[in-house]
Amino acid sequence: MQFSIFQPLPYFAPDQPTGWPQAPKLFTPEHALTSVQQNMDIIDAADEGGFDYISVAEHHYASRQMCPSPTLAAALISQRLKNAKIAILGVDLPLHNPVQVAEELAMLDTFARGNLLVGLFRGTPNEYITYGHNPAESKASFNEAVELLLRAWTEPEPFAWEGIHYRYRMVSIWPQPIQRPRPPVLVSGNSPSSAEFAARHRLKIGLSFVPVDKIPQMVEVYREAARRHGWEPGPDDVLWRAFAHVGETDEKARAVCDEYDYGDAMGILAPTPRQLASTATMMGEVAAGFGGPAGPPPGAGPVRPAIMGGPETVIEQLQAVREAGVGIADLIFSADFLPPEVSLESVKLFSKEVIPAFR
Amino acid sequence: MHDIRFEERRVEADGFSVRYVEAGDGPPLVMLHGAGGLALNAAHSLLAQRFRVLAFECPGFQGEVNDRTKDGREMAATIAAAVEALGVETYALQGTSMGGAIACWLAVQFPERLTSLILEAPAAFRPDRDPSGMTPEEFVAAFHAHPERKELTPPDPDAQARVWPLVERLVGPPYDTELADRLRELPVPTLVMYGTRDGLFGTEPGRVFRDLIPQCTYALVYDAAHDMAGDRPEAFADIVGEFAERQERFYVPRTSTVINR
Repeated sequence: MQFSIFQPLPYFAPDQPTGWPQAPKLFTPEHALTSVQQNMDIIDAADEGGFDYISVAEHHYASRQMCPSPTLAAALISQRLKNAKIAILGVDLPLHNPVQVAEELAMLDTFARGNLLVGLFRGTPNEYITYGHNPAESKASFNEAVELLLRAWTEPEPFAWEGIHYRYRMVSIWPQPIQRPRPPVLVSGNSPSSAEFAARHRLKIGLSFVPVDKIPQMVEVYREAARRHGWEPGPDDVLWRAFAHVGETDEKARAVCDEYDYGDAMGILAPTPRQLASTATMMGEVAAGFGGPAGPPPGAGPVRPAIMGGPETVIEQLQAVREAGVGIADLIFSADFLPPEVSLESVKLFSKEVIPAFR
Repeated sequence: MHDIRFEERRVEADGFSVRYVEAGDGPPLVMLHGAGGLALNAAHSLLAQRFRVLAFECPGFQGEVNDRTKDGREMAATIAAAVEALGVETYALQGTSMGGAIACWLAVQFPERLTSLILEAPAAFRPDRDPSGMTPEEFVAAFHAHPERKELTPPDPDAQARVWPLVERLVGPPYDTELADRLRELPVPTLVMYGTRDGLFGTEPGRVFRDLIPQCTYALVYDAAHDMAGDRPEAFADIVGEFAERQERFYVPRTSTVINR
């Protein structure tokens, strides 16, 4: 089993309010600079500690993640890594010019010496407000953008793209990616239709915050679709993302998670009391565009990390995840409200006690 | 543009005969003018293609002297009564500059009647400086980024002198703490807009509104001065129209990117 650490690049500041969007006036350079160092300390520890990937993801307008540009973050991080590969999990593709994304990722793969893993996602509901994109077309434009991006990496001649949502009369990106025929690409596997899309294009899938007991059935949907398309996915074609916290003992790990209320995936959207009415209106409109709920209902997300406990317990939990069909565990050890030194200790303990059990 | 004809009418309300102009069908959009008085521009016509536009004139701006109305709060009550007298129960309310301050007072007194509050360079929470120190050129530039797009008529000094005491009462102090306190509780989705070239108030008051009102959208309208609707009528009509129709749902666009199926 491979291990990835998803570092959200939190802005660590005491008493930072929650809410989306966060007002720019709350930003202070001092906290930002300290946070950069604290994030890099965690990343360096994971790199030295045997993690296979360092991953970053695109999120906008909130201090929980100082990462509106994951390609930029990956570029910054990739140059300091000694062992680990770099993963972007992922880019919110419908928000961007797909040719530009193809260019930036190819450039990154080149400058990261062919060590790039890429996730292409539709993005969380709030991101549709960030640059003003129509959620009703997100799936169709996402599917088209993925195909266009893959062509931009693989077509040997300059080409024109006459699409439904995209039109380019000249595509000929340079540099091309180092990895041939292309860097590994992962898309969401959280629904049968997205698993089908992944299978059709021979892409990996990512399962985000899926309860462990639901993994086998989702992996089987993907494998079955892949078989229909004439190929057999391996374990490394399935990545699973979850919150994690390792303590010296089960009790100590739980105490930390309870103290900081750590492990809620939907916390990024938690509005302040003043934002309640606005957030409900905006997210309701995104949900209407998506044609269904724009995320899990409140309380449906994991409130405590799926991977939590002392080293022995965590090893058992991850063995169950591996048996469920996951080849890459993409684990989050950090949050803006969790002191970074607590995360750092957890990452070190995981490196020392947990990773060796899978080698 | 479709042929839009505004009808001039009057309605008896709150002891005044209130003049207003009206055009269009659709949901009602009540509009309140600035200190220069009620003057129709291209934005009114554009909005009348989507809304029943009711542009009211504050009593005291058409030759007659209004000594009775003490402040923006009272004028807001007069306007609210005039709208009510027309049988319009709920509506989007737009106010320009001085009219923006009055619209704020209407909103805090009658929030249940408003579907949205839309403020074009409102005079509330304005910088405390005296524009009379400006040269004539500075004054024109403060109001108009694009004078070539409009017919500018020089103001009538006598008419201005007659109405100015009323204007000062209606806009109130630069920072009205009571209005600020009441806006903090305003349950109405609000759009406040300032032109990036507004030489009268600047854009900073927009931050104050955004900070005060819970459901407030603060928009910067590029390349427009204080007379935003005159400088960029299509842009003004677009953002006003979409906010009046969709309020904060307007953050989520419905625009299609389909080129061809």
